[in-house]
Amino acid sequence: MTAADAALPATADAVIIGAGMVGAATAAALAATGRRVCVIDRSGPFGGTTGAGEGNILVSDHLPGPDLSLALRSLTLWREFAAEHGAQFEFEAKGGVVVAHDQDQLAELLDQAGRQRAAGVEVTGLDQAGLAEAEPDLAPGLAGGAFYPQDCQVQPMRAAVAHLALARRHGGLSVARAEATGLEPVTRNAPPRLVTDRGRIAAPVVVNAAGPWSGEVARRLGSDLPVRPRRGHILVTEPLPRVIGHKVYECDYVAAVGRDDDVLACSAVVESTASGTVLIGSSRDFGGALPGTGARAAPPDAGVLSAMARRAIALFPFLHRVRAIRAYTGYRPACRDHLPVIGPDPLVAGLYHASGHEGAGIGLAPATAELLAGIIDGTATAVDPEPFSPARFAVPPARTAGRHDR
Amino acid sequence: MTGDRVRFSFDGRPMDAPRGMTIGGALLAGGVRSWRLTRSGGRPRGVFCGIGACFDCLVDVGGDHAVRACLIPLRDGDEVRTCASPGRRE
Amino acid sequence: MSTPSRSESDIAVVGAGPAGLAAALAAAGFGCTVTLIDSGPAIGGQIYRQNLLGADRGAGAPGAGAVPPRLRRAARHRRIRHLAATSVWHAEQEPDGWFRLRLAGPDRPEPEPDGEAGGTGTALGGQAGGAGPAVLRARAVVLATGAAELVLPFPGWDLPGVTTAGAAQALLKSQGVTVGQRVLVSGSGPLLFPVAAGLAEAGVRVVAVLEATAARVGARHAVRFAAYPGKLREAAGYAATLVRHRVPVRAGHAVVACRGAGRVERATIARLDRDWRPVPGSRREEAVDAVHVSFGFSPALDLARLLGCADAQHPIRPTAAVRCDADLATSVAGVFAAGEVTGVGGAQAAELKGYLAGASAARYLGRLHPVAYTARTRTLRSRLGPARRFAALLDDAYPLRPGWLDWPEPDTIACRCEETRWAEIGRAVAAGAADVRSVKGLTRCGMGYCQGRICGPIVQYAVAAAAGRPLGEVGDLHSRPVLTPVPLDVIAGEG
Repeated sequence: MTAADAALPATADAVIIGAGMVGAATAAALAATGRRVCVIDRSGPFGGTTGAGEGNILVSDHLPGPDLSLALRSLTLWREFAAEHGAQFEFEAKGGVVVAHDQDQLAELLDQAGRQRAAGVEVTGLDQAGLAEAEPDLAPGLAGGAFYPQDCQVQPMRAAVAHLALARRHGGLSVARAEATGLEPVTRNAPPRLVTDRGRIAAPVVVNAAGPWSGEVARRLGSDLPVRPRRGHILVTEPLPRVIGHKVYECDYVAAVGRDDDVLACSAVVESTASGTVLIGSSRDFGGALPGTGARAAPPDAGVLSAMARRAIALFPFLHRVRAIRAYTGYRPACRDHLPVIGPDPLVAGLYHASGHEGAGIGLAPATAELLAGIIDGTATAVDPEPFSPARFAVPPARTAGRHDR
Repeated sequence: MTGDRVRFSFDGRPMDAPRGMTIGGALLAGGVRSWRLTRSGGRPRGVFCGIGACFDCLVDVGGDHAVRACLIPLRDGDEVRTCASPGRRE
Repeated sequence: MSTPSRSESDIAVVGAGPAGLAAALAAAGFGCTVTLIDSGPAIGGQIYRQNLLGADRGAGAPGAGAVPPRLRRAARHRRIRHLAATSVWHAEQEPDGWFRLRLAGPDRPEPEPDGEAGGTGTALGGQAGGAGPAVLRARAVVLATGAAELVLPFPGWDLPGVTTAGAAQALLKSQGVTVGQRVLVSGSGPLLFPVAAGLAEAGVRVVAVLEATAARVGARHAVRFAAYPGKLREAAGYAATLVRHRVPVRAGHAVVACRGAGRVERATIARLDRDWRPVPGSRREEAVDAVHVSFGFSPALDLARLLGCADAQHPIRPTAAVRCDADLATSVAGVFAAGEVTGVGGAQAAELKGYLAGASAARYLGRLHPVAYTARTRTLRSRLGPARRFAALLDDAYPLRPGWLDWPEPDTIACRCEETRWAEIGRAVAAGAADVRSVKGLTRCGMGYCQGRICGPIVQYAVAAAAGRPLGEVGDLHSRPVLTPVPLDVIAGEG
């Protein structure tokens, strides 16, 4: 029996909307508490953002604050999981090298590195010689950089499969193809019932882990979530001998992530994969069309590919004659204030969100799942949940006795 | 070399072929059926689709890596070499 | 590096087979400027293969298989510019309605004209690849990208010496080269006969021609073939050649396995039941040094997809074709299509469609008045009816049956580029991946150089079967945003 024909159970202890990395990790975390979990996805599992990313687990691109705390906790969880299962999903602790083009950029990068170090990140500054030693094929003339040994990479779809397998081992996992269309609210006698195109499922816990579609799902379930799809492009080269040892990216990447405008932001990201191909990114814009929303799928933009290719060649000149064999787009779930949304919906009882991870969903998935499980059960959590609370977007209601704003 | 035959070498072995042939045609005409080793299994490959669609027939020639032998015209003095695909799968 | 050169023309015709040549000639005849783009060294496409060695080089009779004179004019017409050895790697419609096609040269650039002798021997060529423009703008596009062969996997199909039937034909016609001396031709469809006949005439010992479709299925439709005397004569000619060379033809049989050390040495032939499942106890081995396989054709849709043209899934084959109206306009205004990409129908139908598409494009551009268009294309359009019916007849006479799913073993290669094993597809589906895209992500099928051109139909069919879903609902691997491998500096615009 496959996911295509698995029937939707009538009840579950938790139903998770979205069978991507975050949904899979959440399924594992909730199944570990003894719950019967049902994961639904309206298209093939891992077919959304999880299937379109590079599979990075990074601390290097997180600035001190709740974001970095979540990333550090998640890294610990990834390492524990990979110690036993890492080979299944090509876990590689390759480390990251961030590159500065000139002295001004280098000064800013090293300053940022210092603050990250103070918050628990392992990082070493690299001068020109150090940079060349770390990555001999980088273009000469770069000012320097920073090395983050904790950055890792996985094959994201296989990593999601591994988490679903873990959930299955805890018992009581079902995965079904279904599309969430509404939520019948909790009543005195019954838990909420999620309405799908294949029937209803009653569950006290409904988790919105629908990635870039989370805003749409929230709307369908009677709530509101400021998560919107932020498009990215990736160019894939032909297989090459391994000449790039780390994930290498330009230091303006973090700024690109943090932009709020609709202008295209490109920042070179280059890394090898276990299969020998080199992945080239990155781009961010709010163009294109999120698949499955009725709009016609937009192919990758040649202008964006061109910009990424130029920046990649500027970092690694040997790439200029290397052939790209493939390009694709993915859509990151971008939250308005650049922090993930993890926790109970302020309006709809029984609904929880685990979304808004922008380009860091793979890395942040395990800690997100752990945090959400702790929130649901009311147990102590390794990371402070408050900064991620969905209530932070709630418009304060007109004064009503007994209501508390958060 | 002028005239109607082109001299070339394959993995160092001197060969020749009628002028106008593709590298793949010249290798086949010279009794060579495979000139590539796959990335993961190291298995031999030669011509499969013959029209440039399958990329099985990749060969190294001179300074060019992994070009389609079924499409590329053979030139005088070409040093053709087995294309051992780099990288490994998983 | 010089900045990319730009070039514009009224119409870009992609593909210089019979459909593309006819479209270019028709459009140019109505006053349009045409850029004719083809990745091959000379015009003719797959069916009209130039003899690369020159007229008297033993590759069959001089001019054999060469481009018919009426189409050859396309390479010399003053309003047609032919870009040979040129591939389109990306295409899009711009806000002003024009189409921007990004072009790349051959895998190995041709030497400069003043340099050492090139030696391709192809007299009918256009600009050498690599010296042409990097970007082409056109007000209309005609897609004549043809079709690739459909192949089905079996153990040992990845051994050297196992090729498509089309490869055997191409090598023989264009260079007089044969892959083996003692061969089997196996598969389904009308291509098997001409390939086997050609090989037999060239002195190859064709041990047998194996047609998977049972004889009684063919017989059921035999009467309908009577409406196409030209086709029957053609088939009879090939049959006579096979008889003359004592080549047996076995219906309801197929090569279901090959083995050998480093190359194919033995092939296993099995009798098939009506669903193409091997009949137990019927396997026997033949000593061969080549096997040529073909199960029909799969339209090359990737450029059409990139431009946003709608296509239609074939009901039983893992293939699809560009959707066109009666004037061969696609669903995108300004994009027309002709030939095999609109549905497999053979060279003559392709040529007819080409003329019609060229005229249609000319009308679209205002170079041909609609009334004149109707008058001038009346005969064309009336001849297309029988051509379409013949294509449908071929479909009925050579149906693809699901029993081939029993031929591969668990470790049979499914994706040749990435060496994915057959069993991995089933495992991926069992892990929850119920569409081609998810299976691709988990198994790497379709992620290699060829980007799913060979394995795409195989994976689509296998995933649909394993997941219990209709063929048209599991997706496919026809979409290719980078249409062919292209150097990064070309993408960067600096090549």
